[in-house]
Amino acid sequence: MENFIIGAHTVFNFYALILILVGVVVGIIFGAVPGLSATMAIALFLPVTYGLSPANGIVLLIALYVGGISGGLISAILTHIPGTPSSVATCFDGYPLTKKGEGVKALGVGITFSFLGTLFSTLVLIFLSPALAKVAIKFGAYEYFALGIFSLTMISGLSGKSIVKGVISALFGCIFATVGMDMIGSVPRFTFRSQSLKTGFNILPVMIGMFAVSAILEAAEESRHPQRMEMLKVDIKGVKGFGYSWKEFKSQWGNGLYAALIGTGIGILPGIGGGVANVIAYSAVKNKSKYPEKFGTGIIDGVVASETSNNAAIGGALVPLLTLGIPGDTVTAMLLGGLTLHGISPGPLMFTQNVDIVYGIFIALLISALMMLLIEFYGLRVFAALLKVPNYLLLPGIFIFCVIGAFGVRNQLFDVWAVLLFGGIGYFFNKMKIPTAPFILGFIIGPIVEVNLRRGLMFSQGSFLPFITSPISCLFLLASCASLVFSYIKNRKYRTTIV
Amino acid sequence: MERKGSVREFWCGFICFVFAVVYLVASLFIRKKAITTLGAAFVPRIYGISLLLLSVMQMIAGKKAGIEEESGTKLERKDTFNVLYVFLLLFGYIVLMNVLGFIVTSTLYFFFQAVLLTPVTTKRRYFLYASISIVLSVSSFYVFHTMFLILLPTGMFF
Repeated sequence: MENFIIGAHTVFNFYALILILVGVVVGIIFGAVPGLSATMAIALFLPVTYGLSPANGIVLLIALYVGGISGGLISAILTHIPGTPSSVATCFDGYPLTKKGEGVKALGVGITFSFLGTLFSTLVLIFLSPALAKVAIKFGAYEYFALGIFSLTMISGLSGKSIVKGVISALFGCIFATVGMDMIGSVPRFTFRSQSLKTGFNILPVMIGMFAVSAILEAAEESRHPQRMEMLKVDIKGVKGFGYSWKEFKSQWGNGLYAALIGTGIGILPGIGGGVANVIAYSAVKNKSKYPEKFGTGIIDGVVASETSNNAAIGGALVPLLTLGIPGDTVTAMLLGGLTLHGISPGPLMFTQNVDIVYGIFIALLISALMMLLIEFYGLRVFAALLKVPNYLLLPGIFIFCVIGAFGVRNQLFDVWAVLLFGGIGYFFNKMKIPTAPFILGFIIGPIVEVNLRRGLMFSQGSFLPFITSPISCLFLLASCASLVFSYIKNRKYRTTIV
Repeated sequence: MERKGSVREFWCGFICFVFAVVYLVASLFIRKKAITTLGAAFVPRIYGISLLLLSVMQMIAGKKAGIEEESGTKLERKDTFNVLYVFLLLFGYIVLMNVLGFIVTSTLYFFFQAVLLTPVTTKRRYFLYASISIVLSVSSFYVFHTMFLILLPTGMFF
């Protein structure tokens, strides 16, 4: 209790609260604009924190983090282009809801469950972080490999009607992730003697290309059919509160809790992050749903799964950062830089030597989540007004920001070219009705599986036995088998029903 | 209604097959190092072979299925030429960025992209497109390059 009072003293002053407000607003803007991201927001504001006290600097970065992750839902729902990799799965049901005229409901549900996801993982962070850190530290190469395999079995939930096409999509993702320097032996792969290709492809240009560029190409296809190019209308006048009913909110409790657990769990494991959490949570919620065939057609369950998990990953990612000094994802890696700059060494000693910072972070998370909820609630009308901008003006503007974001990743035009390449691939996928979600999953998880397989075999000197004898690894491999069997049975039942 | 073969499914499989063959051939050029149990080429070959098998399955499924209703009317034909123009515009935008700089290329890109995406039944407002393109390009350059210090290509003019 004393520590909370110390933390509250750090945060509850006018200057810190203003910084949190500014951080959340800027974070939401960066998260909402495709191409910019929470990572970029933190990277850009890191120098700003030099002139602030350690507590105020960290509090600003936390606010940017919360706002940035949550802001992605706005463009995902309204334009089918995710603002951040953490909102990829939000597009699948968010945009169809907008097309049905229920965009405000989708936004309202996304905002509410983003808040609840952050709240859940913050409470886990506050009360369970030391215990969870002990579990996280037990994950080695064998465990990460098995977790990667389990994550890849989620493809079945994202594949739609054709599992073959889903696996093809995931394989394409894994294949493009192999371009560049091999992480174990530093051998160039598929670089064709190009220095740019040696750096490989980054997830941001991949995501921007697959969604934004393919959206532009599809809009170009439809330009001769104004019926399809009609602006989507969102009626905000009759909307009360967040745009959904109490009954709808109650019906999503189970999904929200399930997704929050998945998001927090994935966030805790270093190297994975919200980009994977939202896709896996979406697939998991879909698999356990009584009406999986409705996912992708525009139901709030999909939005709940994605947005709860990606925000839950925030608190999860802070667990290894604060307890062990190991960042959970790219954003927390930037936060680690911020803490180090201010002379704070994250780790077990932080809980005794920098109590004000640790508990200040906890309280800043809660206040940021609350501010995010209020700002996005009152901003609902502003977001909905974006739909009044015609597509032929909105899409080129979005693409310009995408170019800025892609170029800003590594300051090389190669990443902008990558946007165009993956835009072409995304367009091809759309024409061939190949789902794009497995591609993103394969792109992120493929390297994790490969690196940990090879590392594990190096540790075990070529033996596959430790992959099975390690308890956690064995558990995930069994879960993978169960997931595959379950998907096969479900698929057979579905085909039998159709026939 | 007459039913036609699922050409799309077959071609999807065929294109994936060709890609898999190219990928596998390229994997032959990956250097081997003695220090690792599994070389750098092992996993790419697994991916390549898997893609090869799946693309064959897809081609077979495409041939077997052969059942896809011909849907829609002639009005629903897509404007493929416009897609090509847009793609070339995107290509030109990136090619010229290092030469002309971010501001000039973004201005030109926005203007022409808006023109290409404007539906045929909507009047094109060139002055509006030009105004928005200039304001957006200059303001975004100022915010990101000058305020946030993100290096953007300046080209020969700015």
